[in-house]
This record gives sequence, C-alpha cells and structure tokens, in this order.
Amino acid sequence: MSANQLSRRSFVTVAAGAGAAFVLGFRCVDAPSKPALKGSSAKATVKANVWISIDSDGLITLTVPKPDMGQGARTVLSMILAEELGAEWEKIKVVQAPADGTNYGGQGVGGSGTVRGMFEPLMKAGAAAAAMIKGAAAKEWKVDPSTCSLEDGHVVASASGKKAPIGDFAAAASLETPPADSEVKPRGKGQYRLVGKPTKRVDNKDVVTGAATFGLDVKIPDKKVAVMVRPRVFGSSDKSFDDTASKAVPGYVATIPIGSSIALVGENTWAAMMAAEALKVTYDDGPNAGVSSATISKGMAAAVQPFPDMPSGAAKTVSATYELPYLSHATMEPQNCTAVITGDRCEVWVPTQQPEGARRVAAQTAGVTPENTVVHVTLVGGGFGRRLNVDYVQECVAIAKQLGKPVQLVWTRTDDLQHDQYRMATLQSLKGAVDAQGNPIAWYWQLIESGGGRRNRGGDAGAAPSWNDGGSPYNIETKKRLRASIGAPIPTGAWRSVENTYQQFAFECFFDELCTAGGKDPVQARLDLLQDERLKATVKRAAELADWGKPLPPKVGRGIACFSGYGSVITQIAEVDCSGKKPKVKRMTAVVDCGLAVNPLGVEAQVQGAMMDGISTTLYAAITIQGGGVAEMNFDGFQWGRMADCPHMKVEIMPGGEAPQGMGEVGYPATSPAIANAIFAATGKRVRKLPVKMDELA
Amino acid sequence: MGIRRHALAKFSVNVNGKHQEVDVPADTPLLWVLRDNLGLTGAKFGCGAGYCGACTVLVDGKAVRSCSYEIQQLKNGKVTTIEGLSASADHPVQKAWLDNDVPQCGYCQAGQIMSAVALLNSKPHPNEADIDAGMTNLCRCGTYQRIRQAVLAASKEGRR
Repeated sequence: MSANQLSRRSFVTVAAGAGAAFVLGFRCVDAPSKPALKGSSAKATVKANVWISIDSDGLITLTVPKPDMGQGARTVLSMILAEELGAEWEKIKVVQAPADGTNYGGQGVGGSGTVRGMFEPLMKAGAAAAAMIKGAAAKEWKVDPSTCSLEDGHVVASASGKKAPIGDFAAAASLETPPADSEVKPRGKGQYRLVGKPTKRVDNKDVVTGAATFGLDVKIPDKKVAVMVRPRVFGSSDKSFDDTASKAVPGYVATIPIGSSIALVGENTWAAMMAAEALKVTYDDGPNAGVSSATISKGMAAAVQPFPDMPSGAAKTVSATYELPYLSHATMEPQNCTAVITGDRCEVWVPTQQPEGARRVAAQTAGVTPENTVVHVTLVGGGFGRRLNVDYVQECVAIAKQLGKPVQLVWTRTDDLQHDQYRMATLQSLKGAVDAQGNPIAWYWQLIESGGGRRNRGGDAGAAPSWNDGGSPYNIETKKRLRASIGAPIPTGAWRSVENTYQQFAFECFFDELCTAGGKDPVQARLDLLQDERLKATVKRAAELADWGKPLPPKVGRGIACFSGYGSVITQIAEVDCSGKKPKVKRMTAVVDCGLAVNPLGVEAQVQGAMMDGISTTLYAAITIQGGGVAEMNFDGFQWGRMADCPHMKVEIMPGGEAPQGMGEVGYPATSPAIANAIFAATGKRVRKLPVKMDELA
Repeated sequence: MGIRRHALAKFSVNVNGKHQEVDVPADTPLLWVLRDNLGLTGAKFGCGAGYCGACTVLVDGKAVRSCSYEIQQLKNGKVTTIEGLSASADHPVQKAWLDNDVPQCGYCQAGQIMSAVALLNSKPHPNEADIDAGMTNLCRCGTYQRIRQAVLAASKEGRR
C-alpha cells in the first residue's frame, strides 16, 4: 500500500487494492505545539503517518508511528485513534511503523511531545475513518449517515434500528469519498468513550509471557554477535592490539576495528564477550587523561562570577551553591542493533527513540539509499533521552558491512555506562535577599555547565558571561541570571527533562532557603509568589493530600517543590526520615495538571517512575570521571533505587483542560528538590551536593 | 583479568520440562544458553554481573541470576523461565501483573515476575518488608509501587 494517491485537498485517502479490507492513510502532521526534535526530518512534504485498516472480520489494525520506550506511546496513540471507531478494544491490533519520515512524519520521541503532538491529528484520523464507515452503512441501509453511530464494533442506525458489525462495511467504506479536513469534526470533552479511561498497556500480555520483542530479542537466521572493546578515556585511540587469545575462543568469528574501538565478532553472545575480554590493546590516552570530576568541579567553581550588590531594602541575604554530577541514562536494555546488508539493501532492527535518524545513519554507513534501508523499530527497553542518539546503529551497520554477514551488536553494561552522552555536571551559585518583612526581593542565579558534546548551551567557554533578566519562576522584583560553560571533554546529551534536571533543583532548593531566611511557610510563600494559577492549584491540593503542617516524629521532615513545563504543572511533597544512616523517603505525594489526561493509568505510571528517578539521583546515582573516563562499570557503582527505596506514592491528576500536555518528563524535576527540602526540615541542614551524603550537609 | 577459555562440552539441560542438549563451554552463563542456544529470549541481559536481575529464572523453584550462573553449575537442576510459567498468562503472578498494569518499558519484568514467583514459593504471604527484602531486581522505569501491589495481590490469590 502506498500513500501516493494522497491528494492535496483531501485529508484522507483510500489505498488501492484494499479488497475486503478498508485501509486508510491519513495525512497527519504533528500539531505545531510539539517542539521540533533535533535531527527530525518532519517536513511539509509528509504524506501520511498513520494507517488504519479494518478487515471484514472487524479486526482493526492501527499502525503507530512513534516508538514505545515505556512511556506508553503504543497504548495511548491507539486509544486516540480508536476513540471514534467504536472499536472493541480486544479487536485492535497495534503495529509498529518502520522508520519512514516521508510517510509517517516525525517519528522521534522526546520532549514529552508524543501525545501533545499527535492528539489532534489522530482524533481527526479516527473521525474520518468513522465517517466513511457510517457513510457506507447509510448507503446500504438507505438512511441518513448522521443517524448512524459506531458502538462496540458495530454500526448502529438509531432511526431504523439496524445494526451490523463494522467489518461488514470494510469493502464498501473503501469506496466512500474521503472527507476533507475541514469536514472532519472529532468529538470533544464530555463525549469521549476511550479517551480519559484508565487503560492498560497493549503489550502487557507479551511482556508477562516473555513474548515481547525488544532489540536484543530479534531472531535473524545465521546472525553473528559483535561486542566492542573501547578506549575508556574520552578522545583516546588504540595504538595497537593483539587478538591472538581472542582467536582461540571457541566461536570466534572476526576482529573488526571501527574508529577508535574494536569489534569482536562471535558465533554467539558469549563467544563475542569472551573474545572481547581476551583482546589485548594498547591505547594512546590523548589529551584528556588528566580530566577528573575534581578538575571539572574546580573548573566550574573558577567560572563563578562575582554577584552584583543586593538591592537596598535587603534585610537578609542568602547564598548557596549547588553541585550536581554527571548522570548516565542506564536504560535497562543496553544499546544494541541488528543489521543485515545484502547487495544494495540494508535492513536494521533497533530499539531507538529516533527511527528516522537511525535510517539516515544506517543508509549512509551502508552506502545505500534511504529508500533501500528498512529500519524496524522494536520495543524499546528504556530511553530517557539516550536513544535519541543512534551511535549504536552506525557501529552495527559498519560491522555488518565489513563482515558481510548479519550481525547483532550488543553493548555490555560497562560500554553503556562508560560511553553514554551524559546529563551534564553543573554548578549553580545563587544569591538572594529578603526584606524586613521576610519577602524575597532579589534572586541572582548563575549556572555553570560542564558543557561538552551536543548540549553546550551555556555559551562559549571563555566568553565573558553577563547578567540578564530572568532565571526564577517566582514573582520577585529583581531577578537576574548568568550562564557559562567550561566545555569539559565529556560527551553530554538529553536526559529526562534535560536542563530542568539541574535548574529546578537549584530553583526549588534556593526558594526554600529564602523562605527559611524570611520566616515564611514554603507552601504559603509559593501561593504568594507564583503567578500560574494551575500550578498554584496543585500546590494547594498537594499540601492537603500530604498533611502539610501536621506534626511529624523527630528527624522526619516534609519538603515541597513544584515545576511547570511541557505544558503541564506539578507539585510534589516528600516525607523523609533522617533518623538512620541515610535518608529514607517514606512518602511522596504528587499532584499534576497535564491538561486532558488521555490515559490516567499512563500518567500515573510516568509520575511514579519519574519520582523513582528523582529518589535515585538524589540518594545514589552519579557518574564519576577519573583519568579522563568514567569510573563506574556496572550497577554496583552506578546505583539506582530498588524496591526498598520505593516510598508510598500518591499521584493525583487534577481535572485539566481540553488538550493533553506533556507527561514523560514532568514528574522528574521537582522530586529531587522536594526530598532535599524535606531533609532540611528533618535535620536543619541543607543539601548542596548530589547525591546526598549526610556528612556533607551544609 | 584471567582469560577464560573452555573447550566445548555437551550439557543436558531441563528447561520448562523439556530435556535438551547443548554444546557450549562449561563457563557459559545459563542466560546465554537460554537465549542463544535454546531461543528462549524472555530472560533478559541487563548487566552481566548479577546486579540487576533482568535475567532471573528459577532453578528448582529458586531464583537465580542466570547471567552469572554457569551451565556447569546446573547439574540436574530444573530450569523454569518466563516462557515456562504460562504462555497464556494465567499464572497468578502474571495475572496480578496484568491486573495492576505493572510494565512500563517491560524489559525487566520477566525477571521481576520470576523473582516474585520465587518469593511466593518461599513465603506465600509476604508483608511489605518481605517484599522489600525479596524483590531486589532493578527496574529503571521505577515500576516498584505497582510491582509491590501485584505481589500482594498474587499472594492473596494463592500460589500454585
């Protein structure tokens, strides 16, 4: 089937040769509210990105263009598509679209944009399909189409009392004239049947039976397995290697240098791993061998600028410096890719957040055209921003090309932790003041980013930084900000909520410090100084739910933080017990307004998961740079929260507006400062460095 | 690091009630025998060192981290993988996972489920502290609260 029949004027087109199946291609360009993803090839030339097919048995197949990395895209996009089809949920089959920007539009998943961007076009797509089925039934029954509706897999004509399965009209519907875009009026709030209904994931059964196919589960006949040996030091290269011992490993296949790394290929994974372990390499460490977390930390401290004088009327000034480390994404499924090159064709299976980027890189590396490159998107075992990059695709296709055989590239956990694009390390120095009544009147924030890689947003290293207006979500008379970057040679990238991961920590902790200086209650102070009414409503509700102000045992404290971003607002309150050796988060309360919550179960899951991220990065996780590379090799060093760290979580979703807003990242930014503020409430000491060490509190 | 190099040897394994022969080095982790030799990809590779538990399977009803369990250790042990639990998802633990909509990305969940089965084998009615102590697998999506609910729900259903 192809979308090439799509007319410019028509919103929907009918594919040729549909036979008994009714196949629609919809022209669905992401709504403009969705932020453009870097590297996304979404263009005005997009022809169609969603396919609905209904066969004569009434089975509805929905092709979902966006990868599912755990954010629930396959479920929530299917719900939206199926809303107007009156489909029985059990009769829906979800198919993952291959990478094809021409036909499916922007397929990247990031920036919490999937539901925000796809809601309106997919609602229209479903409504258009419904109109064509109703039209076909109306013709056969000789009734007015407006008297027909789709319910539980059937077309029902209210006036005549006629009722027949949707599948009966599959063939006839394909002959209907597709409605023009302006004629399609999807239903709205108050009329939804599926949208807003807590809906379980479409892939759950496959997951709990082990049938789900992630990248590493792809079964290709005669595939070999490649494991890389990489220089640990960033920017270094190999001088020489000796693979004599590798060759002696049973199942050894080949040694293939790729850039500064060496691929060891085996008949199976264990053979490749053993061959890699047996390889002897001598490295030239290059210019970065002396770089460490300590030198980066020192460099950031040296970049801090003097603060301007505080305004007159300042009764008390407060200063604080917050330092946050590099973080790895550490997706549960390590990076991997499987590639087959035959003649002028390249076929790839990959768990990625960036299907089109994967296709482009695979085609370039294989030396074939994008049209001859097929990228199958598997289930994605975690993303968090890591899989917006497609470095693993490039490696795998390069190996497959040299090997001349199908190959699966498997990154070990050490590869994954030591060759990530990290959430950058930062140092944030703030100074503020309160007046005689305790009201904040000044807020100076400087952000020093370690920089490096693709996320060098703080300006050029060495350029003279300057103070500009802004830099606080609060209504404070004098607000100034300054940004700088030291350009450390550590690769960095997007990590769930990107700059909000560190900025919000400083904002919300420092606001708490100003509250303390001014003798203000942190809940009331937020209600006084926030301007966003939606955000204030979540502050109020969270305070009620979390028993704000009620007495707690000694060494137990509550802390609050809030965040506004991706179109959504959230407030979180942490209850933390500091009576033991390390803080224990006992309870987390979150109140979120994400506009229209299309799948409340999914929204709750995103917030619960993001709160576990926040607990993990507050209490445990850090990437340490030592000798120019990453010190951590596995989950013993890069620690993450487990069951015993999981508090009782309450997530409440506020009744929101008519359009859905971003949810994937919203739960993260306020969690960590809420915990830090709770630790202060419990101990009287401030968290100024993450992860928290009780003997480092200020 | 010492180089491990074992010649191929024949091992007879009992996986999900089926006897099969594999020809692998004796130090090959059970995980790779399951995935690469037997095509059972339900158990996942997460860390290769026993830290995360994504590879958890049962050997004689007890949870083992198969990435760090050499095939030569198995002897006559009976292996149960997620595929052997129930292909139709009607094991009480699988049902509890579905009822509670536990998975996010889903990658760790086979290991979580096998850990839960082992926990309920040894402790049919765990309290929250037992679950904290018994469920130590990593879930990077942070699905722990729903896992906890599911384990408690499965324990009420009664174990098989």
